[in-house]
Amino acid sequence: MLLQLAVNGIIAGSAYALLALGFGIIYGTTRTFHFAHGAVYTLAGYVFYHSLVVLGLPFFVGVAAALAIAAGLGPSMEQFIYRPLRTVGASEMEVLLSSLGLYVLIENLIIILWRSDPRSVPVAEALQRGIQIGPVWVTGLQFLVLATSLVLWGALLLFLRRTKLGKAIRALAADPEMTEIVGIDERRVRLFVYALGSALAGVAVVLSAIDTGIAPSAGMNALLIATISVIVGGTNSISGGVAGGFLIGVAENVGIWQIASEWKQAIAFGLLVVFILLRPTGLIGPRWAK
Amino acid sequence: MSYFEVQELSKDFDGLRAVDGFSSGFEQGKVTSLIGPNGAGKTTVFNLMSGFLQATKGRVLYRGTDITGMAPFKIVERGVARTFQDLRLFYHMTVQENVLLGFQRQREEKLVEAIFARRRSRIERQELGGRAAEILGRLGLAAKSRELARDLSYGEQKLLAIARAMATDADLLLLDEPAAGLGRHAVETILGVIRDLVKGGKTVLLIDHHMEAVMGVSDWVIVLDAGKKIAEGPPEQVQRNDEVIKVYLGL
Amino acid sequence: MGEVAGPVDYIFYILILVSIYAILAVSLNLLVGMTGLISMAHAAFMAIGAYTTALLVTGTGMNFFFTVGIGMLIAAGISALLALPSLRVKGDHYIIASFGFQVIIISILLNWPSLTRGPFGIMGIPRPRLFGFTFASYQSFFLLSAGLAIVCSLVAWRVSTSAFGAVLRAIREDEVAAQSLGKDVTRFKVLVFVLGCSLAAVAGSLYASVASFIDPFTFDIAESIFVLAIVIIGGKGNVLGSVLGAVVLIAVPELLKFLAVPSAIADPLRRMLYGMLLVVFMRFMPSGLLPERAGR
Repeated sequence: MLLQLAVNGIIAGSAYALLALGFGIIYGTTRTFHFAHGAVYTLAGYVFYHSLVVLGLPFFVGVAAALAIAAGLGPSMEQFIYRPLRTVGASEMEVLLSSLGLYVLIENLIIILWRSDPRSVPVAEALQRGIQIGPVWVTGLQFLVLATSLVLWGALLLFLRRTKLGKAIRALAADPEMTEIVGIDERRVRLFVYALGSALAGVAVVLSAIDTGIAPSAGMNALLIATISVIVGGTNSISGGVAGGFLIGVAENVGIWQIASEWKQAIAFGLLVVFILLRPTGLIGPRWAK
Repeated sequence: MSYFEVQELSKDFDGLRAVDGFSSGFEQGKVTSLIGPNGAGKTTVFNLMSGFLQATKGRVLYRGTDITGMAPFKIVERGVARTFQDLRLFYHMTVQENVLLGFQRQREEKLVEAIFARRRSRIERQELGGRAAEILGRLGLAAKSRELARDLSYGEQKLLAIARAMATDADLLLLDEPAAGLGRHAVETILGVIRDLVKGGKTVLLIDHHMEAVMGVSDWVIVLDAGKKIAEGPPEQVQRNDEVIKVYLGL
Repeated sequence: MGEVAGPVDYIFYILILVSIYAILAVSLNLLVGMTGLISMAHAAFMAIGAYTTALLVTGTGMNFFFTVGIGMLIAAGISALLALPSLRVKGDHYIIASFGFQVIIISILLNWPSLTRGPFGIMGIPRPRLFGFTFASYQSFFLLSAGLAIVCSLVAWRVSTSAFGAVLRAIREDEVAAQSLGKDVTRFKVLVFVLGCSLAAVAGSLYASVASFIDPFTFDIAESIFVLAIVIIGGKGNVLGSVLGAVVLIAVPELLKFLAVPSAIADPLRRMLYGMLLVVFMRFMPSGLLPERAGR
């Protein structure tokens, strides 16, 4: 039983890690608490749903549409809302508040367009089938989630370490003022980071929609988890957020072995609060991009 | 018991030793200057003295009490106040409001008094207003008391920073670059203020690059380079010191 | 909500809501507007007041006014516990921590059925009574809520115009400078946090009594964001602005109802509008409708 819970925890953790990757790269690089990331997430999810269920388009078209919308919307927010604000000298608080405003705006637009009841997306048969590995059951979907998040994590690490753009991103995260001097076009890098993080959110929401459907509040919940994972795991490191995600996933699922399942969310947040107060740099310390 | 002293004060930043075993005594009622090339660690020393940085090693003693690592506000309560190189004024507040914030232990700073006992604290308010006006008058800022700090000229802003520190009624004032970036006339005003402070019994420790100003107003000069003290003494003596000349010309 | 019989009742109901949100706004303004502490947990503290009143009045028949006091004390206690550690962390992290508090507190309310009846909420909360008189009608309740709103606004105004308030603004502008002038910044932050959260509890107690039914979902994070929007749009650091913000963001959208907007989209449309207002104001009018010095 415990083993099954642990496995469930790891799978859940990998989903959270995926969320943390997307949010974390934006937060880690720009140091902006991009609350509206949750709205990008949700909207991408509904685009996916709409393509598949309402328009009857093939699966991959739906995925592509979701990713496109996400990768377009995220950077637009930076370009048309956050950057103009900073140019006129707005404080971080003001940027955060406008991000909150964007979130509320989009979430409610979604409710107007699609109403507030949750929608489900039909799942391919293969994904629903479970197989038994030793004492535990794992479904095809669970494998997919775990595999996707591990692959993307690895790919992101490689990208950050080996490519020019990746290194520029790390430079921007480590020392924003230096980048201008070194000749990195800070604007372009930021926009790219938003696109990348939002696309990752798109992947995460597609997987989540296949699993449990989509509802207007999906983005808020995803954002909360992503935030906790990033804070707990380490705001300065991509792998930190991933580690955080896994930790939360396991803690939540194993935790319900002893504590009633309604407390899952509280456990996650309890961890968040503890880490914020005692170790704000998270599990993995201050150095960037491990 | 000396008035103010630092013992073996050291500060490391990630492997870089910004201040290295700095020891010195400071006489009460005198003006001591801390000079040295950029990056010598002077502002770091101030930050260590005023509690804004934790020392890696060493102690800071004020009137015999070890104030090393005390919270900055507690150090101010004990009678040591400082200004900042980048001023850190409350730019959206008026000159008068800036000075009023300097006064310690105000009645109305207690929440209960602020809500329930306004009549009583009104008297104190008036008194403080008078004291603020007096300080501003001494610095020649009285006419500007209702202007916003951000609308003042740079020289006036520097005076305001000192006015705020004076309002704390501190006995020892650490002034970080009070004359930097000022024209001749403004520098003279600032030096006059410093001399007045000392005449009034205060002790001043100052950092500055403006050599004439420093030599003109100081009783004692300490020279730092790369975190270490390399010379100290009365101004004329330090000016002629070979080490000091080398360090400055070497720039 | 009770039966709203006719347009007069309806108008008073709106006015009651405005006064309740005015209390929430002026109290949050102390934190956000004056001190620069963005708290996303205000709805949770409103919930503490609401649940205290609801439980004590329905469970023990205690008088409403005593429950307000107890609600304030509980809110003060919890906020003090939360404040001490969290106020030492930097801006961003503070906001996230308050996010966490909001979720945890609501989670507790949701998952403690033996105390709070969990997701089912508490029904049948009666109107307040004072010396035999019951504030049963909307008109009379409005007198009560307006009265409390005036008291809370006065408290906020006194804080704002005092030396305490001056230090709060100094902390908002430059904490380091405030420390260099001998101010115990942590003490100020904790005190203003406790005060703000206690006043939010008062609003909660009022809400419980007028709505007669509450559940944990009433006080979710969307509520916290809404109050934040009122404060910002009304005018940071400005007591009168907060009241004005409450009027604008509550009364004005009610007019939407007269535009024959289908009810399914009326609520989300209203929220979309305030989301948009928040973005627009941040860009073009960040100090809000009433700038700070106008209505301290």
